[in-house]
Amino acid sequence: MSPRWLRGIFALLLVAALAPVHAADDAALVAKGEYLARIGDCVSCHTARGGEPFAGGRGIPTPFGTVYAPNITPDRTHGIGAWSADDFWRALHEGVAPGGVLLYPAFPYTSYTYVTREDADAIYAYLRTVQPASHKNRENDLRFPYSVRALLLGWQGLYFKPATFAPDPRRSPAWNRGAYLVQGLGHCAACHSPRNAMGATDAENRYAGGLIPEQDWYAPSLNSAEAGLGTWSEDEIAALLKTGRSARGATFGPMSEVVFHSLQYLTDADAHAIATYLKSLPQQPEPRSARDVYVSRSLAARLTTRGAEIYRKECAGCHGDRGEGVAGIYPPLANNQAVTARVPANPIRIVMQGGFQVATAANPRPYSMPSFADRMSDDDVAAVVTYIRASWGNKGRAVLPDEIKLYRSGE
Amino acid sequence: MRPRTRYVPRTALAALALGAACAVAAAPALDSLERRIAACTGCHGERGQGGRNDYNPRLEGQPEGYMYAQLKHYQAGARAYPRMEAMVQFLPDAYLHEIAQYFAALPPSGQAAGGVGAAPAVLERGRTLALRGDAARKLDACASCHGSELSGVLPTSPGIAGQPYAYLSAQLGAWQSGTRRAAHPDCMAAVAHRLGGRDMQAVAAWLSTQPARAPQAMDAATREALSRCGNGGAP
Repeated sequence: MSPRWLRGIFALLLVAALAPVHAADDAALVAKGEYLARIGDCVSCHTARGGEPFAGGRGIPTPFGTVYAPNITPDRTHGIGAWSADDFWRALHEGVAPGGVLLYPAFPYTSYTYVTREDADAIYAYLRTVQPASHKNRENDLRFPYSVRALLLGWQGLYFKPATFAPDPRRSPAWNRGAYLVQGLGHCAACHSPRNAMGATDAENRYAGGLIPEQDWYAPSLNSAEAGLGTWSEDEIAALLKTGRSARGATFGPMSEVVFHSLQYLTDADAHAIATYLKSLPQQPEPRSARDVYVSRSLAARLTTRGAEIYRKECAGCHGDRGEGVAGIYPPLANNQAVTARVPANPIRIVMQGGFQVATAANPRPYSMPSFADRMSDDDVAAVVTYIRASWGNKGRAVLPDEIKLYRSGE
Repeated sequence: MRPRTRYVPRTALAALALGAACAVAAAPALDSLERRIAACTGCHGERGQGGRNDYNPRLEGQPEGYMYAQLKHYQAGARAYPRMEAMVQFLPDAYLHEIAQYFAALPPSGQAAGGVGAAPAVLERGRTLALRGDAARKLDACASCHGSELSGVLPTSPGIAGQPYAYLSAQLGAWQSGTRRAAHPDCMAAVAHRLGGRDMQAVAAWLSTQPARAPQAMDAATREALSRCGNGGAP
């Protein structure tokens, strides 16, 4: 019965009342997407050093050549501005870009496939809000035949099947949340699992640790009795993820990058959820490595004696006479699995290149360790690393002077 | 007179002993910047006086603005040296400022890096180029931007006197090959190209024998010279 103009006003009022609700919904979705994009650490690969965020261009070194991460800003020509939410979902879930373009698995869709559609949509909504960049994508620099993208059909057939995360109803919500984040967005397996000759990880060895291709940092096992996280407390794991340091050790190398761009932003609940899940992984023996070597007992003894001298002079001032470190400042070396890991890449490289701990909100002025590469010969590095790997209850094998060369060139 | 002369050395000794005690007592506190930046001083010296490997440059007294810019360049990959790039990669700007301020505030040693045994004629050639340039080759003197004492000009021209020969020649080489760059027109690239290998070595050799002093304040002539460079000569 109401006149048309009155109905018009009602409609206007209705729209006015609903609009802020939509805006608030959108903002919440974008904020959720931003958080999830951080957990996925998208920005790390999709940003060139010194480049605009998400504009791509960073080279990801692989044994097959270099893959250049593309522009994922909303630029319509060079970015993913023309992609629909469905397109984005298919890239994450199936490893396929619009037009049926198969994606190289340097993009960790083998993990991202577990991301829910809801979370993928949130990340999509967030990425539409970042500053568009007209940065042109760079062609991959892969060797033949890996440069033939169609061959990925075979690779995907052998090593990849789109999957859905299946919660385990017998486990706690926190465990399930942790499992979802570790297996999916966190893509922990991408580094913490060995890769086969075709660059694939397999379910059997998942989280068994591995040398990161072309970087020569060792991503330790997350589930071995010797090197895994079973003996860590949840608080220690959560602290390492969020601050880059813990009573058990500090991050370095690529893991510091992950903490810097991604894990420091975890909510406390999510950090503990991840810790809960990681601690529950079935314990496996630390796997053999192609880099295992035999060191005679007499050589190991000589290295240890020399190493003890060097340690007293160069290391004990910070790390303590018994490798105990200083809580919250200098990481302990006693009972530190990064020191004793089967593959000694990490302690060797840390001694040689030194470095700062990663800066986080909790640790904005981090401590650092000098580089010893110029001051120590291969023999001296081998001696001091052997000493710390075999002292104060540590039981890592001795390190040969010849092994130091492997890492000196990459330093 | 005699008792007095005996008295003086004793006070000196006492002062020395006190100084030594203070030096021990004054070992930097655990929660100090000095302790935090052990990675910096490990290579650049406890007082920022330069490294023990004939390459690592001295940092004491260098303009803060220059050092901060270099740290940011390493972070962005705009200046290449893998060890430095790795050091600063995950450090926030506020901390980089603090580190740059720390070294800028340290008094320069007044020392030279030590000669490389270059022949007197080579050193003389280096001195002439550094202080007067070579008008025939359109080569400005180093001093026109780096200060009359070649110890830098605030806020961003670095001191080059007293740096190690290996460091100076490597930097000139990097400007020449384009691995070190500045905004267009890139004055240092032009200088390096015009200098060429021989003269680079001569300039580097002479500069390494000169004492490192505190940077000068900006003056009209330096401002004029820098204004001809890209981005006002920003490093």
